[in-house]
Amino acid sequence: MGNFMAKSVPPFSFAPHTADLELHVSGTSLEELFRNALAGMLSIFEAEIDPTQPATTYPVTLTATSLEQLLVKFLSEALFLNTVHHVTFPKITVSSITPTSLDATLEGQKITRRKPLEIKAVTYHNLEITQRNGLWHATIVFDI
Amino acid sequence: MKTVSRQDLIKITDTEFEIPHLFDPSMRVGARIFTTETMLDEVIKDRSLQQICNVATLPGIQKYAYAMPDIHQGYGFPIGGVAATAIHEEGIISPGGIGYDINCGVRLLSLSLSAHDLMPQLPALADALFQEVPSGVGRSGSCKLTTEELDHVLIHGARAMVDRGIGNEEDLAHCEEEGTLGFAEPANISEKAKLRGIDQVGTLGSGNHFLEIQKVTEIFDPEIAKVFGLELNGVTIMIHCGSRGLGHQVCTDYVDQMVTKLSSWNRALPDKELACAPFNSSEGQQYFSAMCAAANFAWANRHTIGHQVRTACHKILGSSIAVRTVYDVSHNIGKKETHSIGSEKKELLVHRKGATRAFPANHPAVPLAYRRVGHPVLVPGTMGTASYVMVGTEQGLASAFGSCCHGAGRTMSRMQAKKQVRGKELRAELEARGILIRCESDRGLAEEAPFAYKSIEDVTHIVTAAHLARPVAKCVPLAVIKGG
Repeated sequence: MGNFMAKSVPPFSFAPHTADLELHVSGTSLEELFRNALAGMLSIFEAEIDPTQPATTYPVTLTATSLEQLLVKFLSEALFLNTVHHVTFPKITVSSITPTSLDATLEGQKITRRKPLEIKAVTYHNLEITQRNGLWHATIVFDI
Repeated sequence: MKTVSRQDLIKITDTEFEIPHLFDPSMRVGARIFTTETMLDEVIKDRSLQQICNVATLPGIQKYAYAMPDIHQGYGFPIGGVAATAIHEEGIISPGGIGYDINCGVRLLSLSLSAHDLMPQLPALADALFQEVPSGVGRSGSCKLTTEELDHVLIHGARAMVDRGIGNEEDLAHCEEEGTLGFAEPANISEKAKLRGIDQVGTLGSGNHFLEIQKVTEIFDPEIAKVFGLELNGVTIMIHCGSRGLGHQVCTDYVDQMVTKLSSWNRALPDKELACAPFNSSEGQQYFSAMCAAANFAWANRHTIGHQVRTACHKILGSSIAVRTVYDVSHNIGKKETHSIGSEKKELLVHRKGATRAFPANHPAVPLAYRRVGHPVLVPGTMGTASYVMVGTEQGLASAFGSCCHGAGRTMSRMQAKKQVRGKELRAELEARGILIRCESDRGLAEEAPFAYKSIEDVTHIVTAAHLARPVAKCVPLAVIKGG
């Protein structure tokens, strides 16, 4: 598994999966878990941006029947915006988050160069969100 | 569900194994896996056998949950999974059992010149295909559609492209369902899905999607090969892709909708990715009509790419060269089909997730051009090995609902593959063997390295021995064109 940042618990890492891509993510709060899950998903593209260009903001308001569904919906929304507008999201502001609702704003920057790998979807397969020793953990499989 | 171990499998024949339904109380039927003792040792290493047992728990499932010899771990269903549910007995439809890339499939074209005559022009043709067919991420197709025109494509599939002067009637006649599923309803496709797809007709995408120029190196059944228009040392071009972002979003939308409904339906599933609805419920019907529309989009896409390939061939080889569609077949789809279950004929929804339909001679769903022999079953291998054209059998129709493998099947994750070979080395190795590579990403190339897959020879051998299909012709790659 490769780490993203030098920290005692890495915010995200990837594990081998025969056909797809499995992301392991953690955070000290739900907000951090979602933030790190987004960073993990976007890291797959290895996108480059021109920071001098203005950002476009995308409000994201979601409700769900479970925390797992909320996470899938959040990442699916970001993936949709990424695909249609060719943007990545260096900044996210979370106004409120509960286990079944999220109100956030994504700041999208146009991608100037990226790895030519497409994520088809965020799946529910083996999706688990747990809380251990004060840390939230999630495992997410992406169809690629 | 407990972990499947080697002892849980009963050998039925040398190429067919069973996990009985008694393995777990939640299984409604047993699971049948077409494989060999040797390949089973590999299959058991990932979670694919657990996944096929999970499929066996789905309401309305008939006979067995089947796994083709290219089985490997997917999400929800294993890849290479086949499940048929009885639609009049509360059988379900599961978007995850069809996949995010709805109607991902393969189209094969044949050229009216020999591989020998092509060789001097091969690099120019590979360049032209790379140029003519947009591939990779974020590239639009040359076919610009309005929202009304997109709806027309969603309803009429490949036929809508012929109406626009792209491709011809013979292309339609040589395509599963003639490139159009009738139950499509664009109103059941979200605006998001339409936005993702509107500029993607005629684009290949990335990942394991590819274009390949091939040489026919072996004919196993000369009579059927002749009907398919395949000759020894002839040239074929294979196209592998699907419904692009539109299909991905349709599946995302409906898995979400069905996950939301699961608690109100009081339905416990071993994996939420198997979220499903009774086929005859309003949710089931809505998804089925959206899936049919996405499948039509995929057929329009491969049909358009076929036309772009034809254009490139004419540009490089001259307009006297005939480029005809051999066949186009899906390997991620749910089809309404009638099959014999015991002494009864039942209407079923057959989920094929990474599995190809393989209907034999005289089946009414086989296009007229091939009715006498059965339709071509297209089995792409890896970029360094070979692909097979096969044909279905009566035994296969009776056992696994007329289904066959869809390729070689991965054995290794993309991460592992990249660790084992550098893209540059792989490119050099393939080119040293005379296979031209046109791919913008060395890393993307490494992820699809031939050693990351099972042996296509082994897989097609099992298919043949298990009477699911039999080989007609073998095609080896001369040039591979990929987006990344």
